[in-house]
Amino acid sequence: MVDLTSIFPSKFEFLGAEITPLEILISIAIFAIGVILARVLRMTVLRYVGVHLPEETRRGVNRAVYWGIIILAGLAALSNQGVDFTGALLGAGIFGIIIGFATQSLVANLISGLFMQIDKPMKIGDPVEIVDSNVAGVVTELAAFSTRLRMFDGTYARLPNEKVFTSQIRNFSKNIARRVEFQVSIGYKEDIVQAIAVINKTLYDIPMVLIEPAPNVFVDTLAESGVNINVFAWVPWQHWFHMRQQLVGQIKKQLDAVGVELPYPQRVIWFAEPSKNPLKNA
Amino acid sequence: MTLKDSVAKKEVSEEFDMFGDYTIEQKLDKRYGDEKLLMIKTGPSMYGYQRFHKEQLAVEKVIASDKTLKLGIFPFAPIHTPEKVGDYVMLKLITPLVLESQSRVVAYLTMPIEIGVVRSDTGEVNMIDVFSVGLQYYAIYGTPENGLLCRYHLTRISAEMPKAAIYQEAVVKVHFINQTRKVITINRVVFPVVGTNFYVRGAEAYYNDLDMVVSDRLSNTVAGVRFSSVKSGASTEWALSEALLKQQFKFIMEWGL
Repeated sequence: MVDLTSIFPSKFEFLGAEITPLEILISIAIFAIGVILARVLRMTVLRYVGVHLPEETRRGVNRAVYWGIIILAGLAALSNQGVDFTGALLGAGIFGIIIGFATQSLVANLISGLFMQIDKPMKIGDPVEIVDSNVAGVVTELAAFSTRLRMFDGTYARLPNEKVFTSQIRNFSKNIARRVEFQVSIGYKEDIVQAIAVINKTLYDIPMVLIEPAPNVFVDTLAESGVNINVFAWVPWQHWFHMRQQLVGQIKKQLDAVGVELPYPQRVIWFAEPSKNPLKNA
Repeated sequence: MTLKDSVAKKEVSEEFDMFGDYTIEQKLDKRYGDEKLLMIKTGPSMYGYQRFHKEQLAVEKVIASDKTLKLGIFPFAPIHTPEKVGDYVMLKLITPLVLESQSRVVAYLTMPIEIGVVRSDTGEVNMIDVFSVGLQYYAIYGTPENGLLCRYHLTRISAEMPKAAIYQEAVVKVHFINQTRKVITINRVVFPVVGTNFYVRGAEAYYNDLDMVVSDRLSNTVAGVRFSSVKSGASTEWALSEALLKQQFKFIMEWGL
């Protein structure tokens, strides 16, 4: 008969601790339970809490719950073997300092990513402009170290979180409406009241120009070539680009229809002496 | 004029194509204002749907059905056209209503409607088309930072049932209740309008009655708007459009009355 104790010695040494096969089995069981628990808890958290969270937060919580429990289970399993972590922790501390210096920017990106999760200047799907980096597009991913955007021309941009966090960020969808602003110039001989009435009527007939806050149309400047009229109109943010394109053309069309002149740059020239051009004098 | 008295108006509405359910044997041809709807059976299990806006083709769809197609044409929540931007309606009163302290008054307003074309034989809401007759207007209730985008409608307030614009408006009866100890001026009624809680009679539409209860909340005067428990629209001569019924809601108007 084979002596099992010769194959599985009753005790052997592991990381300075004496352990038995039974203790190994218990450790494996602890770790396995930890893995199962991590999966169950991840599913439970996703089902009951995750549905109420934004996409990027849900992913973060998902990873944190799963890997947090796995690491705890691993530590518990090793502790069961009597493994002393004091030395390991000291070593990890020193190693951490070295790594910290070596990966300063990496850590800065990670910390910035965490703070962005708290500050929430944007979320996935938001059209934004990262002003300092001169990048504008739709947010596609808020990862641990970087923010990824699909720029309006369809290209892909990856920005380190540190740059994004410290930059001025314009989020075009944070408020439910945006103002379209442009200027229309009419000739000096034109009736300002009529022109403003035509512009107001044009704005009123376009459904996505909001009634409240009301559009604001007013004479801004008496310029070199004509009278400049400012047009401010609020529209839902999703329609801003389309409205910006549509409104100018529509107003031009309506002003043309009532015969309001939109002047070219022009200058009235006075001659100090009578012109020597015989045709002009005639 | 009460609801029952408005039977006389039925004659007027008979000049217009009616809301309701239609079975498509071969062809259906209806006109709602500038919108003309055409549904033609093009094959054993194929139907062609077309909508013309001012005689110009606006929408065209092919619908497959292996049984006789039934269409429902009903007033719908006015939030889909030209594009959906919110679920709310703001009824702005042309003449503000001044409510005495701790008083209640019943008044009629009008609200905008859209017209929905749905399959009514599938047992679930299967929208084929939705359109507005006339222009649509939108406004913000609150501020651009935290307000709500609402379909905007100017309405008169009247003690008797008003004559609503056919295909464009529905009548809504509002029970205004002032629970505060001060005189309140009401300029608007804002509420979410998601379902199809419209009663129809011919081409006329009538929305579920509303309660608007004004009360003091901390330092602010707010109004709660919800469906009224009094269902005066549910008289025998009005049929309820059951495509997408909303049972109840409560909305707190906290950015001004």
